[in-house]
Amino acid sequence: MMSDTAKNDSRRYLTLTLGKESFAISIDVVREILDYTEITRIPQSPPFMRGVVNVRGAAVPVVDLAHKLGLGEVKRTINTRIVIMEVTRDGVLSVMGALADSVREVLELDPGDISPPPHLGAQGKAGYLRGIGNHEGRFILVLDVDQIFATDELIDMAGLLTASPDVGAPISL
Amino acid sequence: MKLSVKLPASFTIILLLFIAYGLISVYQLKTVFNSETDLADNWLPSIKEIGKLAREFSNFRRYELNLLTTASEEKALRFEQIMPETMDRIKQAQARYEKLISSDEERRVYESFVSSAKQYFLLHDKIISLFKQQKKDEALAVSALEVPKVLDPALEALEKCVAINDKGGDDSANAGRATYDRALLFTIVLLSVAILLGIFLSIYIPRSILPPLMKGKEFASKLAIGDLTGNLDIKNKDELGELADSLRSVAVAEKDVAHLASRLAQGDLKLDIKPRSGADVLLQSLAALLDADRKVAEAAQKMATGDLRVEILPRSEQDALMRALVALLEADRNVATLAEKMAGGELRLDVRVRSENDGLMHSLRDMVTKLTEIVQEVQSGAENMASGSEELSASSQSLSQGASEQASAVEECSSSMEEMSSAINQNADNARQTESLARKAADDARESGTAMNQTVVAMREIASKISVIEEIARQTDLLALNAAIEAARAGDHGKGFAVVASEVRKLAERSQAAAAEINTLSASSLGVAERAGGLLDKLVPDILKTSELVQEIAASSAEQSSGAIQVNRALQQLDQVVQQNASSSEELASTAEELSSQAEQLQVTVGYFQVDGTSRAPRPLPQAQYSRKPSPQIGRAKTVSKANTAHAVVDLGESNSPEDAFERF
Repeated sequence: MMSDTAKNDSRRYLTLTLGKESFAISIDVVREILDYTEITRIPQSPPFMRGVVNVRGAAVPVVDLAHKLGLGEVKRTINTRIVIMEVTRDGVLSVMGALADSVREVLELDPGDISPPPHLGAQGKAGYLRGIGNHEGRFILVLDVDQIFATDELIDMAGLLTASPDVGAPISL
Repeated sequence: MKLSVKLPASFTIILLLFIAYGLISVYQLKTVFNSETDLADNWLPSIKEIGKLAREFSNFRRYELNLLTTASEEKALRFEQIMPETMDRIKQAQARYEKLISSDEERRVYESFVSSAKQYFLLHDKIISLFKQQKKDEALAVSALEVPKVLDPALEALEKCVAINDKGGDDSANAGRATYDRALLFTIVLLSVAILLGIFLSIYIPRSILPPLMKGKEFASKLAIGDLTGNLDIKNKDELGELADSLRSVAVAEKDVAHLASRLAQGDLKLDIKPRSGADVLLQSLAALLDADRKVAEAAQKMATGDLRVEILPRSEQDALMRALVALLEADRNVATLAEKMAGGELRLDVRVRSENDGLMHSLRDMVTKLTEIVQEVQSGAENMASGSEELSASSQSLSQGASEQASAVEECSSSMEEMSSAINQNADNARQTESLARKAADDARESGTAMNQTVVAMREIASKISVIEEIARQTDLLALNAAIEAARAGDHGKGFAVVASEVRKLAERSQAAAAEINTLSASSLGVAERAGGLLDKLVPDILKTSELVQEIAASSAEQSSGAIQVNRALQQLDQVVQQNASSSEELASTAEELSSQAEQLQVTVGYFQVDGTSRAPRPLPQAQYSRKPSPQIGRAKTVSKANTAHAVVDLGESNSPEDAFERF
């Protein structure tokens, strides 16, 4: 069963948007999706750390994913969602929330549809990008949340995107 | 005793004493002098001469002897020569002595000498002849025997003369000494008497003179400084007493004069000053002063009444008062002359101010200046008036024209007004109709409005309901998503669920889409309905406003109608007024002409005054160019006659001036 699950999991992704970019996260790290609710700010926390939310009594830290990825900030709209994820850090599993501009769907991506991430010269830290998926003509960046939240540094995803002009530009069919 | 007796007496006494003393002294001196003279002129010279005579006589005898005795021829010659010389000398001495013989006795003696001498000389002659005859011895015998007989008595006589003279001299001397003694005594006595007398008098007389004199001097000093309060207490019966009396009367007189003078000083000219005598210079002067004062008062009175014909002559070089009066008179005459000139219209006067405080001349000058200004202003004003009346004339012409134009315009106005009236009435009718229509429309609009509002409300409800549905759809979507996630995590087991979830998601999406569409539609409908509602709402007040306006139009039409009637009436009145205007403007024209002629006259009248730069004739005025009503002839005649009286005094106070004719409109 684990292997099925694992196999199924590795094919199902949750897509979300940050700004104009679509990102995908493997469904196995996603617990649930919430509406934007009251975020309690925590002082002296890193800037991308928006605060904590109450999830059935538990305080879950929320991160501005756009900020973390250097793509601006997530503004509160009717479509803003908080994605509750399970992130493994130093071998410890913790629950984190990530702010996203909107959440799309759960879709299946064949591994064949996922190209490996491009080599980006000096930016050798492309670990948090699992790959670039292609779905219905659109490029979706598949993220590795564990890698993203491995450090407290901000990731210059924007730089990444602009560095290789192919990435991010929708394929005109 | 009077001083005139006392003093002269004293002096006379002393003087007499001195004179006596002097005379006596002189007499004594004369006596002494006589003695001395006698001595010097008579006795001593006599003795000298006699001496000389005797000597020469002796010499003569000696020479005679020598001649007879000498052996040398030379010497004999010399002796011969000498003897006549000696003879001369004897004769001279005799002559001199003869003059000095001063007594009979002396003469007798001298005569005896002379006879003796004569005898001698006879003998001498004999001797000489004998000598010459070379009878020296006979000569000698004569000389020795005869001669002594005569010579000795001669010489004796001479000696007696000498003795006489000697005695006489002694007598003289003694007499002189005696006289001297006498004189000395007399002098001492007299001097003592004189000195005593003098001392006595020098004490007594001052004592009787000085105190009264001092009193008198004090009194006089007081008088000299004008202090009349002293009194002189001297009752002597002599000149001092008289002096005291005089001083007292001087004091009295001064008091009187002071009294007079004080009354004079107070201006009392009714005094009667009578000099006390022909030589009373003071009272004469006071009388002259009084007289002069009276004259000055008279002259001043005359001058006060304006009579400037008085003659004032200064009484002297120092007569400041009269000079001042003369100056005053001059000044008054000057002022009179100035005033005359001014009365004659001459204003180009040079009014000279006599001093800083000369109020009169200052005022006169100001008056002349002001008058000149006024005249100049009047002249320019008259000019302006003349030109103004020209303009007035022109404007009244145009006014007249305008008035007639006005009249015709009024007629037109009147007819237009009637037309307007009917139009207005029609307006009123239309307005009334419109008003009822508008009211109906308003009601309809209001109904529509309410209906629209209801629609809006309903639509809003729909929208809210739709939003609820939307929310449900959204949440459903979320749930579906979460379900999908759970299904994904459940792996295979969740596959069916995943399908269901995705279907639900789709449904939710469709709901969302439909709700969104409905929302859009209802939003747009809402917008439309609201807009319609708004428009209708706006319409209602607009319609009501229209209704009101139409009401107002109706009302104003009614007003207009009545107004038009009034205007008509007014126009009729206006017509009348315009007619009046026309005639008035004609009158105005004639008045303007009169005004111009008055202005001309004014110029002529004011031209009476001669001032700098304005001696020009009044400008000729243009003739009136249209017929005018005859103006009141009376007024014209008056003004004409006034213009004809040349140089009539312009009396600006009277009312029969050209202004009257001007006013009579």
